[in-house]
Amino acid sequence: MLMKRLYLLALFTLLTCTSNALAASPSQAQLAITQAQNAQRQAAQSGHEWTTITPLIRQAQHALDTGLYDSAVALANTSKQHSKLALEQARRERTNWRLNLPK
Amino acid sequence: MKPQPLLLLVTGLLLLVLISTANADPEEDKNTFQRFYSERLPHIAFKDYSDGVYALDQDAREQWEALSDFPPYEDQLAEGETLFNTPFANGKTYASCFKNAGINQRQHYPFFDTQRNTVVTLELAINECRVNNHEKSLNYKKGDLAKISAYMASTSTDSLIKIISPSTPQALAAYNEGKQYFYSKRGQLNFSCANCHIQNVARKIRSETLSPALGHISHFPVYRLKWASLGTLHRRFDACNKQVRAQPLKGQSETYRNLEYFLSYMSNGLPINGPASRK
Repeated sequence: MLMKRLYLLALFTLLTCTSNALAASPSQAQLAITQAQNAQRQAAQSGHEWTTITPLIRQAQHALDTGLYDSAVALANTSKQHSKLALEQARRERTNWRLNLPK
Repeated sequence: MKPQPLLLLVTGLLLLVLISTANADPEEDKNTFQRFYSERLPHIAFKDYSDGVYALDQDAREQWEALSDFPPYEDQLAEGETLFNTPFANGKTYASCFKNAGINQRQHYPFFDTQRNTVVTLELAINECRVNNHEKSLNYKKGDLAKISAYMASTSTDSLIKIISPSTPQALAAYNEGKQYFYSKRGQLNFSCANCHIQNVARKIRSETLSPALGHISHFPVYRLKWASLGTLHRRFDACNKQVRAQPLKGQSETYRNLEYFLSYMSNGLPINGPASRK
């Protein structure tokens, strides 16, 4: 009986430690937001910024402010991904726009 | 694997055709642009492109014509005339800033100012007139500026759009930038202006018919039922950009002015019929 309780306690402790280790910290969330903001500036400079990018950063900031650090990181990373795709679009369209000319 | 000489030749020729088309001069561009529509929509008379989507959809046209018996922009147009004729604090009026006192001038805008090396649209000229007369600038996309611009457009009814061909390298660069913007895909939905208004013109997007880009600028500012007010062409550019989830630009930004320059040149020869109402 005692052994069974000890096993359960050990399992609980392990689970708690693991979930704590995987959770994002405020500084990680802030770093992700800063990176997303830098990516947004690059997308804007390319002239191909998407309307999704800034609202995602705003949502990430709100998540950080309310202590939802995992959400903040996820939202900031999504925003960064959109910026990367927007930059890729800008790169492609430097030549591909010609394909849309009327024949 | 060795490259196939025939394949290389064909690829090279294709690239040459693409590059030569992309670098065509504005007159060639305009002819190709207008010919595209005459071939795609042979039943539409050239001058009817000024009516935008209502040249394509008979049912929508009948509703639009019924609405035009009592135009929803009538009051705002009258306000525009009053604003246009109201003297500034220094006693001068808008008329002092324009050729022919601002009457019947819409068809000449935008033009490339070779002194300043920039595209000057009618809305930019109106605000510059205000600033030069020590008045505050107005909002570029709606409000009083749209009303004044609408009144000025109304004095040009049936005058043919007459945009001067770019005559300097700087003017050509501005024109080409506008052209590239028009044909470039943008936004999360990855659409260019041309994808809707050239390749898919007259087709349906949900319940709406896609209008031709030829004649797009002839009827601005427009009163959109959706806006319940008059709005300028740059406000409409914003709406298109938002629909494809591309970040809109500032009113009268250089890019929007260059786009207007390109689009207006493509519509050379069409009659001005603004302001008009749209859904």
